[in-house]
Amino acid sequence: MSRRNVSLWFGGGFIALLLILSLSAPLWYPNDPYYFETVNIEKMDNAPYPPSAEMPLGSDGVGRDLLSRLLTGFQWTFALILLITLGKYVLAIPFGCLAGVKGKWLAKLTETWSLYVSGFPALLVMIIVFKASLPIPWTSGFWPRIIFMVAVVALLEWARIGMSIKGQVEQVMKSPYIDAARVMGRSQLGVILHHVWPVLRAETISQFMFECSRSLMVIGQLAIFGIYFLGTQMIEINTGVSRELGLHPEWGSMLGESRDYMLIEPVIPFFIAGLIVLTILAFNLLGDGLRNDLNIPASVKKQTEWKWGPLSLNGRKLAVGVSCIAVIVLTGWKYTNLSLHKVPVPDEVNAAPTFNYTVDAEPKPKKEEALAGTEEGAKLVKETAKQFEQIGLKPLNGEDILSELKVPGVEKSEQTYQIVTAKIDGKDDTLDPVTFFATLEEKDNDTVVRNMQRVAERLAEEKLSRPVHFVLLEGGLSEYLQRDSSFADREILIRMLPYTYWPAPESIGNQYVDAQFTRVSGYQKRSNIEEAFTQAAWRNGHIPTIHRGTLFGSFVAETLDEKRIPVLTLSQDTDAVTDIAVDFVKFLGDQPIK
Amino acid sequence: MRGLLKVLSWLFIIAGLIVVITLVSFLPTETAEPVMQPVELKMQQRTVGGETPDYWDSVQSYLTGLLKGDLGESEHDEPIAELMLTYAPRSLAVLFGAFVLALPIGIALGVFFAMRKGKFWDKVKSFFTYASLSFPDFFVVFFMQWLAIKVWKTGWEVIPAAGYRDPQHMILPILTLSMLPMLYLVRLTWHSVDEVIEREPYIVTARSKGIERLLIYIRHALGNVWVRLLDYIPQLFVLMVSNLLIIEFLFYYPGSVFQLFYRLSDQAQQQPGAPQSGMLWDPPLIASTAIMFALCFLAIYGISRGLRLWIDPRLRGGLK
Repeated sequence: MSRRNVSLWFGGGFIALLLILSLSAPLWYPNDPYYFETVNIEKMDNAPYPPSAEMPLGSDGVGRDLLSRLLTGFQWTFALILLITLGKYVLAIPFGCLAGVKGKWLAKLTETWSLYVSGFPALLVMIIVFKASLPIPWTSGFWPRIIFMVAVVALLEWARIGMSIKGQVEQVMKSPYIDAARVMGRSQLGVILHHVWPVLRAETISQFMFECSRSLMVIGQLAIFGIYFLGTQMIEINTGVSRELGLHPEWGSMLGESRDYMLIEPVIPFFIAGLIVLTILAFNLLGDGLRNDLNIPASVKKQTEWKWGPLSLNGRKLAVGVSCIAVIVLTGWKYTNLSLHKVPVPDEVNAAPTFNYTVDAEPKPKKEEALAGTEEGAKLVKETAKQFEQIGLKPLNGEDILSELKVPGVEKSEQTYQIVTAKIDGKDDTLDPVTFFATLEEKDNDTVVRNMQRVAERLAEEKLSRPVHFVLLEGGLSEYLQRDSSFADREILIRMLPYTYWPAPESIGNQYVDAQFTRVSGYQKRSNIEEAFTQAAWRNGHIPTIHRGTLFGSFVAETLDEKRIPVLTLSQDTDAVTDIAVDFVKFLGDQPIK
Repeated sequence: MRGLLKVLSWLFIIAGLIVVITLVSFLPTETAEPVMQPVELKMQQRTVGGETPDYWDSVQSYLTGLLKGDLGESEHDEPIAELMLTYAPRSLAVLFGAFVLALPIGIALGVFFAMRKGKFWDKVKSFFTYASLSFPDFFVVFFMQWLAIKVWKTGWEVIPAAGYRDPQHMILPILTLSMLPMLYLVRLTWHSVDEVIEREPYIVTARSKGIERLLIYIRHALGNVWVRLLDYIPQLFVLMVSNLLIIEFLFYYPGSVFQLFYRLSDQAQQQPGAPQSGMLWDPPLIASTAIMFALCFLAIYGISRGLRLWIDPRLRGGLK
């Protein structure tokens, strides 16, 4: 063939290139794939970080370098692909060959199993089996887990290959030279090994590549459901915030983790899924190229002439190429930083930054929780209304500051809740107001309401350019929505929540301030709201933690198609919360929001 | 016969899974949840202390209930029949919609490809083959969601990227689900039509009579391919159910597969404020969902067998 075999060169070249790049990555690309940093203090930014000089592809959701993870990740991914595909062939070749030669019950078994498996979505079975059985102790080790998962995948997938091999063997067995070999006194095994197998070898090798692409697809599909071959580990990504992340960099776990960022940073899942697609394509092309290159009509003469069977000269070139790659892999493995059971904890994470802050969380006297529907709750709301009047706030929408909200109740047919709505006029009333919103949740309502009172007190003294609204409801968000469905149209909403709502361990004190944004992220251009909040938090010596909306969670799913509102969760019982809130409103000034 | 075996395979696998999963659920697990919700308490009583209900008894009671038409209760103590009635129609709507979309387009494109010959079209075809082999469903979903978000941000807020409330939430799942079966149908139609065109002598006859090319492809060639397409349809259904898993999961589309996995997955635990569910599996629910899909498969299999007889008179003639 004078024409270049394009598919072979592209497919093989791409995979070889990936292998070389991934194995040599530690030599030319210094970033540690394990190192994470959710908050970058110098840049005052939160992960995921945009592409920069240090991180050419940016970072993933917890701030790990994406390029570094993609490169080193290919080592494990490649190993897993080979393991799964080998697992399939270990079952398929003997069963397929024997079934083709002997027929009878082995053939029946192969056929029946393939029928069963093709009749049922294999992915469903895998997921149910893995989800149900992976917590069992004997599959929870590192290698036991991999072996178990590979075995299950292989068991469900070998039958297809087995059937194809069986068909080919049956075809070959019809040839007269098999009869000749039999007459010459070859044993059954001898016939298979010396006369049948050499004919199948080329086809099997090219099929192997197709199966490799299929294995990668299975790795990806399982990862979507949060099933990673290498297992997971809990990593404390931020003080008090732990997440279950993949143990080692590997494309499957990266894909699974990046799924959360689909809405915010679609680029991150795209890098990973795109690379997976390219690799699948490369394996397919490699298989196709090999088929074109190796499938020389297999005559008996050729097989006796060449010890390598239908592997022709081109095949030899290929064998040299494969062994070269093997050498690269073996030497490269030695120099990579990928040790098996390394559980990395970067030193920088332990050395948490120190800030000057004051904690005024004096031990509170034990008393009844002020909950919605209780006397305490109603009292708390009424007190607030009185205080607001004293400060000089005006009622919102011309009502009284304190009014009543009737909603269908659970036990009684109608429940009456107290609601406080007040406002501070700004210089320019056409600007979107900043709304401070609080409801009585399960715990710590005193704190929340006290924080709100303090914010109102401080803001009443300031000359503000924007109007500020205050809404305090005895009851929950859903009750409030029944009254005011235009709630979601508010541009700037600061929801005040008790810090127990967003759990943080008590041992670290209250130095963290949470902000929950659903639309903006550090990767894109910050909105002015986020900027104002971040600045306010930094200036007051606090680390802004920014929770970003994910695809998970019914709340997000429900509001996904609605107008998304940024929500600041100010949640601590400190003066700093007041400071930040006031600072935020002042900083935002009369800037446009976007 | 083979079809019967396939249908039986569903039931066997369901039975096998239930046995395995239930046995597994009786094994003690390593982690104990610190906070005990009622569901977990129930679990705890079953696994650690307390009396273990007899396994065969529970299977027997489930099966007798099934025979009476009662699907029983899930581990969360909801009646399964009610759950199925809310969730299954959503899944079936998407499955059916995707199928209706994929069938005509796939076959039309297949015939179109079969009609195109020449160097350029060979390249297009081989690219097409590899594309259909290489694009995993999750990539297609990612792409569609990304596109939907882009469109949404331009202000044309018609196609939501995920979730479920209005009928328009079905648009993306249906489009995505129809994609892969469509590609398979295109390939199958194109190869089968090609085969018929090259092999059958009556095509040559038709040509020599001067019948228009398109007409030959559609009437003579495609007419002979219908049976093969029909035989392929049950397999297509399995493929689509398999894809439905990922599509419901990624689009956050609350169909029956999604709610099954929402219960299976531990994602529910990660949400602050979401109810804790210590239950990792729900055998009666899995069984009921599987039985529903098995029944669908059976129906589709029956219909395709029936249509086969109706379409191909030769098969009817063979029956004596």
